[in-house]
Amino acid sequence: MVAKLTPGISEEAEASPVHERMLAMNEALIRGSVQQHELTEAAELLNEQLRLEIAERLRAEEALHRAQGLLADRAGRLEEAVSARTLELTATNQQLEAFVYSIAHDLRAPLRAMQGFSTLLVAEAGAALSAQGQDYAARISKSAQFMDALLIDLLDFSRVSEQRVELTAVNLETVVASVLARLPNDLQGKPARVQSSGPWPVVLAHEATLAQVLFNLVSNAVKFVRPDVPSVVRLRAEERMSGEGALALDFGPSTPDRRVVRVWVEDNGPGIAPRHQEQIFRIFTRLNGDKFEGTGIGLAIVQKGVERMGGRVGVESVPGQGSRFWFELRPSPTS
Amino acid sequence: MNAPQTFLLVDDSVDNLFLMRAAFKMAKCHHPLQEVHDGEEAIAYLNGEGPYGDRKIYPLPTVMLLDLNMPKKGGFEVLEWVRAHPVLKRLTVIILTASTRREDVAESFDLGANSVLVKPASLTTLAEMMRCLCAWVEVSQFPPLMEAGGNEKHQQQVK
Repeated sequence: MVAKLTPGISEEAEASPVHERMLAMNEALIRGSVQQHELTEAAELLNEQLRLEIAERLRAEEALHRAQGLLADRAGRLEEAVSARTLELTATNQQLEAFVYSIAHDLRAPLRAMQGFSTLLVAEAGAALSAQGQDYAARISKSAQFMDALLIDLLDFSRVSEQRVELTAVNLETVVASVLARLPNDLQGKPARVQSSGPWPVVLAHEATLAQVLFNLVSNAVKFVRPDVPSVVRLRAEERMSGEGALALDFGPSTPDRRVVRVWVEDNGPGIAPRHQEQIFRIFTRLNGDKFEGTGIGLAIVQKGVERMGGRVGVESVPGQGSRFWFELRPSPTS
Repeated sequence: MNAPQTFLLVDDSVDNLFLMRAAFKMAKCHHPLQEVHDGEEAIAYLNGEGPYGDRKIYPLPTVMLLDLNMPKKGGFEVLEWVRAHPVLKRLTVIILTASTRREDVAESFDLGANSVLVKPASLTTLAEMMRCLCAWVEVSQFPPLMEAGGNEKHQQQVK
């Protein structure tokens, strides 16, 4: 059947191609085995590389873990340090508060005694005293009272500086009304007309601080009068964009492109020379010596208070024409 | 109606007590004044302990003027003690302090003070304050504060 299928092929002719084919196959097998060997080698090389890479990666991972651990540790230690520092600061703050309280309570007590006994001296032994003696007693009394006023203002300043100031929506109208109601008691014998003209917006403020700021500004305005001119003090508010007005003294962080409420307290008093306009907000600064009563702390309280509420204060003044004090606060977002 | 109303002054400073007496005098307020020098003494007085047991000499006060910052027991402790007492709880207690701390004012009212007065710098102002206080006392009604002996009925009601 085979012969039939392959007719005309001699034995020799048949043997030669088979041999060749076998040789070729052999050769191919050898080549294949060499190739396989090469491939195995390559695979082994690759494996080795992979192993190296894995080891490298493991090392890196380990290093990363270590770094993470270190970082967590550092963070933990940092947190500890921060909380320890916070505790320290809180303690310092409490010490300060206790200190201020002792100023209020303990330093004022002997002053009251000095004042009281010098008053009694004049009241009960006045007849036995010479006119000069009475004058001395009166001076002791006056100095004690002045020192008391100083201590009270210092307390207010420290309160405004230290107390927690949380901003809420505060109706300026209410604050203005309460401040004006408090005025006559504090400024006896100072005939001043205080005109407040609304509308009064709602601002973001700390009510007690705002009342203190406004009270100090109005008291100041009422106090500094020119002898020949009846004192008129005007209060008003306006909405504007912050940053307007180049004359402003910038004390707070600037908030560009934002609406602010500016409150004006204007008087027709003696005014302030330009070179003094920045100075007056500094604590214990007084421009008028004994001519006007004062502790030199009132405007420092104003500046500190407004600053604590995130606002700015300033003054515009022409000597001989009066002063226009202002402060800016943010309007309440709900208004 | 015009029976003398005793004031009990509680202050650790003798100078203060002296000046308060002077202020009452200047105010032409002639109610009897009693004084003690710290919170413990105040409680002893109100309790009628020791010498204070003689109510003819140491009558129960109508008004107690109480300083806050005192040695031994402070004003707050005295106020707490008074308000927790079954009989004396209705005593009129006026805090007279040098402190202007808002917390102290708040705490005074929380503990049941009837009023808080801040000691003024000037004696004249103190006299004016005492004049107002006396005028107020004279037009006010005060609850009776019975002694422990005469007070059994009340104590039973409390129980």
